[in-house]
Amino acid sequence: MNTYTTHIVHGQEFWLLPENALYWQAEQTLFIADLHLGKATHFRNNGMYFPEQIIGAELEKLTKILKELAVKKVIIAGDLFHSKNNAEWQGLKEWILLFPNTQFILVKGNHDILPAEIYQQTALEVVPNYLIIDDFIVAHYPIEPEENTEFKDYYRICGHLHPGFLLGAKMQRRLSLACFWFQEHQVVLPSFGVTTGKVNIKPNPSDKVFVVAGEKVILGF
Amino acid sequence: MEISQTQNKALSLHKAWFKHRGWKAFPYQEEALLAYQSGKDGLINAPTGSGKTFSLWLPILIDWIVKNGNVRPKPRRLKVLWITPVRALANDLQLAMQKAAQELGLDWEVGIRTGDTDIKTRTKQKTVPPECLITTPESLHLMLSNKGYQELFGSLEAIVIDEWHELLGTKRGVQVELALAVMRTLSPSLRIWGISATIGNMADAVEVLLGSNYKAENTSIVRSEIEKKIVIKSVLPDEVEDFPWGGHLGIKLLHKILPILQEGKTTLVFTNTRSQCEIWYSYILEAMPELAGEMALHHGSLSGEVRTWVEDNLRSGGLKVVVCTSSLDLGVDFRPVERIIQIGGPKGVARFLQRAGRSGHRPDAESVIYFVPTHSLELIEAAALREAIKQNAIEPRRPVIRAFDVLIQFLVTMAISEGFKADEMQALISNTFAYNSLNQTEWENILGFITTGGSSLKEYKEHYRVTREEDFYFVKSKRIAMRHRVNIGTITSDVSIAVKFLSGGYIGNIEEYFVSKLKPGTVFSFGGKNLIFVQLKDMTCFVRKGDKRNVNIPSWQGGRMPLSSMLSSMIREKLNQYLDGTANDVELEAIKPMLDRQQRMSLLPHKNELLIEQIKTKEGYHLFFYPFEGRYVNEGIASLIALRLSQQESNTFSIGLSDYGFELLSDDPVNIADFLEEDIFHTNNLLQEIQEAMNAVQLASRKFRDIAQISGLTFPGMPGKELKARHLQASSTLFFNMFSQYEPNHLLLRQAYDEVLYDQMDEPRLRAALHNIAQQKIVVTYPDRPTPFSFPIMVERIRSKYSNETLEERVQKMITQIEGKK
Repeated sequence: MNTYTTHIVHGQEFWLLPENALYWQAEQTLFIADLHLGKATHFRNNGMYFPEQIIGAELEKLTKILKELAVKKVIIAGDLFHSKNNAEWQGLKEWILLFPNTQFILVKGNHDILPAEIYQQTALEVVPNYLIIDDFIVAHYPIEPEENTEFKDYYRICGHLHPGFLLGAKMQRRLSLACFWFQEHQVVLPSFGVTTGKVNIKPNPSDKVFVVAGEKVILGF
Repeated sequence: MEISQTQNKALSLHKAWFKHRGWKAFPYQEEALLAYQSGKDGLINAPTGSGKTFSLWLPILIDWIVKNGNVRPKPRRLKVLWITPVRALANDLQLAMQKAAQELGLDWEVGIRTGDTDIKTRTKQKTVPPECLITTPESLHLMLSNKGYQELFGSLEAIVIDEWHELLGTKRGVQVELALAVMRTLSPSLRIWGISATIGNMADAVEVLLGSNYKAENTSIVRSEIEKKIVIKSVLPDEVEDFPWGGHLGIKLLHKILPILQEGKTTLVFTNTRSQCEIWYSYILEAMPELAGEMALHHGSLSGEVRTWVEDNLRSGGLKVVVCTSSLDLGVDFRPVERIIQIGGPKGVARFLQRAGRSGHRPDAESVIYFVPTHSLELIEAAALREAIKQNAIEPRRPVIRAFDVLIQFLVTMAISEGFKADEMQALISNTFAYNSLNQTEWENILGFITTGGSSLKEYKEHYRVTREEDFYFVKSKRIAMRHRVNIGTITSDVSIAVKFLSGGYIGNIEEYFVSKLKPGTVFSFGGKNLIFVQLKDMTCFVRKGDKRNVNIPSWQGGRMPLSSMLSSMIREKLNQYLDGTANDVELEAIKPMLDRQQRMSLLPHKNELLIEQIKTKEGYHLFFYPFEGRYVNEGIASLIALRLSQQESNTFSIGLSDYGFELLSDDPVNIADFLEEDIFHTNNLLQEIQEAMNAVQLASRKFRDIAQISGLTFPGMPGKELKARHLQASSTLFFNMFSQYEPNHLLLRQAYDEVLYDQMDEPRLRAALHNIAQQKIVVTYPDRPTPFSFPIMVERIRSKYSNETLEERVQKMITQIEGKK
């Protein structure tokens, strides 16, 4: 039995996973965004601190999901890798090979700046701007409703923002939680990376915001 | 005491200098001369305006002359460091000190090294050092980050730490301790002297300064015998309302202040917060438009340029009125200042004395300070202050210890310049007061943190800040060194947003929190100007000039000081005297009707009583407690009691606070008498419960901002430039969360919680307060409506919900309701 929180868009049911991923069971497809792998090492190489224990945490989370759910495709809505090439890329390359029956597709984000030949050496498919599947379009950047002209018949699945939602009224008690931000025309995914911050969003009344509270995903707005 | 020949010579030079000035040395100044000459370390305890600079500068010069004659050192070497907490004071000090040297016939050069010193001067100071250098703690650490610091500082004979009371109790004070420890190793015969205003723990102050080098027989505390006569004149309202509430009374007393402003030559008006400062400035200007051009504002958020202009004009007598905050507490003498007005309770005795001392600069002149209450209950504070001054009861300053962030910054500083050996550095650090309790594991963790980033010294293939080769630690990368130097100056800075005109022109800084609430087009008052908010971009708040009325006043979060425990105990003392009929202060006389009404409706508590009032209104069930412990501690007790009450019987409370007491408001009734049969004020499990009750995680996360910046976790960017380093931005919140999850025992994380516990919640004082309550007799009263004591707390609670005008209406309605019930 599915105990996940679900949400229906364009007649399709999506599962909202507490690991900050969106799962489309009908197509056995997993959507994630903003992993920012390699960030810890990038900082350390520049003489700035990052805890080393954190390295690999994203791939562990992903492994867990891939073991629990049937996933044919993993689509990454941008910002897979944080910056220049470093040791963590090697780790990712080897990790992908552990899942020969899963297709990994990256829709490039602003952080994905590695040279083409590096991407070619992996089992990763790279798409420059967007990817269309049925009624859905996957891209890195969210857009404003009024900008939604070219692909207005498609529902957009995107990232980039690292959305957070503030719960609680009192200053001292306020808590910002990662969230899935469903708007009329798009969903902004929470960042999958554990080395990323959050930006608090201001949703419109017609939006739905699901926050990730520990092991649960609950409707917050 | 036998006086040697050299002492005789020194004394006669000293006398001659004073004679030349047409002055006479105070006995304490001669005492300092002899103590310095005998090679001792020490502390001068003297108020501003008593010649404290000369009390050390002359002994240093004279000691040199007696030993070496009237000649410069050959080759030129740095002999004296003069550390001041305020960069703006350096120029005045330099002038005064240079002049004194000349008058003694010694051609010593007095130089300045602060953030304002240009590169040319800095280079020259390296090749041909002045004999004396005036500097700040930050600049001193920057000098330690340069190669060759041993050469520069190796010849030092004396270090003077001016206004030590201001540095003590801050992280900058810890910076001073560390720098002194370095200097000691370079020049063992160094004499270290502090200058401090009176604080409650003078003996601690000198021990902290000297660290493990402190030896009573080699240390002098020289106290100035100058007793400034301080007269407190309260500005009394014509009619005292029985239901006081914060904020509105002050402005109502404006008409009584105007004559004071008119008659004085120059008046300083001190307010407690930057918002109050802005409000008073605009009201005074409206009432006395002729002051335009002769009146100015001064607070910490204004640009340095504006502040310097104000200070210069204060000195030259060009200004008649300056409205300011604690930003003018410090500083050299502004001689033209004749009158001080204090708006609102100053919340502490030491702070009040310092402000009072800003007027009447001749040592024998009496200082008059006018006290303007912002609500009538504050008049008790005036009486309490007078009592405290009479009893010479002044707050102590608690030194900062074990600040790991400052230590980390310091170690990287030392690694950048010449590198260090672990064991030598450990010995050096354990000589400071701040770190003498650092244990071996903590030390190794810190070394691990700066080298591998882990808590161990194990090798890690990707590098981090500091490189280790065997026992030697150093920094290879120029880029890391440069970034670190930028970070050194950041200990004092908050997260603030620059305010600029669209057309350019920097006005000052404002807190992010306030800007985030502004909408484009909103008018707010800042620096005495009405500004229209245009947009927030790149950490800058862009504005246009506006002239609409009905403006917002920015609130700055740091502005609010809690009542000190010294002053709160004096307040209880005063209430006691009032009850016993032994008080004879005009202030208490003035609020007699209100106190009597409190006594009639409920109770005026004795020192050995804790009053609890339970009142039912349309809002719900109110419980008021009056521990008189200051806002922070009251908040701690309130959260604790709310937690304990709701654990026993499910209930939700809103909390209201003031310096005197707190309120717990609930929808459901609480049978307080039942609860009191058990001890709800106990201190078992206090640490854990208080952290739970006050959401310590959230508070610690906020404290962590500073810690992350000081320890170099986050990088604020090069001044004035966009962050160039690509993909190297991360917020302190992110680090806080990562540490909490992956390294919960990290020293820096522990520090954040300790700071919350000690600075914010003031755990020691909270514990003491609870112990105190345990000794008190608890009296519960059940008034049928709000009392004079409870009313201001209720108003504080609802304040945030209403704009100023509607708050006024609402309060009037509340008062009418209470009076109607009579």
